[in-house]
Amino acid sequence: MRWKAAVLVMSLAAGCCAIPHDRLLFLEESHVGLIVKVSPSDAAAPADVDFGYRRSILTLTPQKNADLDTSAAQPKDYDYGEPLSVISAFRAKVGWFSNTEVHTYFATGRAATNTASDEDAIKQLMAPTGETKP
Amino acid sequence: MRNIIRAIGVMGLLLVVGCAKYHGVLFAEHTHFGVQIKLSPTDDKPVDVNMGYDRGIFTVVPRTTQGAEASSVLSKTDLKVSFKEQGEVNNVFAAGDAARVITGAPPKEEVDKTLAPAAASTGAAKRMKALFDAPKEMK
Repeated sequence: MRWKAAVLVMSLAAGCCAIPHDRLLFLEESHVGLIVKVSPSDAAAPADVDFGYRRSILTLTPQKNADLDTSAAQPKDYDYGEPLSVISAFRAKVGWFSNTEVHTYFATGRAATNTASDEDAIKQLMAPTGETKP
Repeated sequence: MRNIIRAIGVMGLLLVVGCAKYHGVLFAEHTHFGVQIKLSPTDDKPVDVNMGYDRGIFTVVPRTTQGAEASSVLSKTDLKVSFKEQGEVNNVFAAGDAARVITGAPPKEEVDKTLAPAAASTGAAKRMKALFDAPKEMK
């Protein structure tokens, strides 16, 4: 993923106020393992080695009633509500000489709220990988 | 990492200054564990070695209404690192009613009344336990 480019695009979008209130923007990058980048032609950064775990999240989550604000000035005590629902989970179990497990989960809206309301589902997301049900 | 944080900072600044009317949550997180080596001969720091754990969060969380609490956002990271056995990573992000329900609060009534009974039940306490006890349960 072109992480920096994506961040730049979102920065420009945010700077120009182009992000509508009815959209949830979510950008995620997860990495487990080894990345080696060698760019001899790039004098500024000829080598980049990354070994391990890396996760980056960038999200713009509007509040539920935020779009109503554009039509007219709202009173100071106007309730914009909670942000739109989103759940993103990443779980990995990595061994040198054993199986590697990677589990990801992403949900928005009612799916996310339903997941949060399901005790078993939350346990699946939160508990260690070894205790997940098949 | 520095570039990302810098970009995120610029983004947040633009958002706060240029988009004062934006009502929503800005959340940026970066978690890294392991070894990272960067060579930049032309930079003033030609070698950048990062070994271990590195986490950064940048967030702008508005209130739901004036005088009220901040909007609900949840971020959780569990890391277990061992060279003798399997290492484990568990990372969860949640926002909005999903975050409220996970942490035990019922969703706002106007959002979805069908979810309120389940969320208001004693299961909320168990969800909290599942959330915060996870590291202890790691073998």
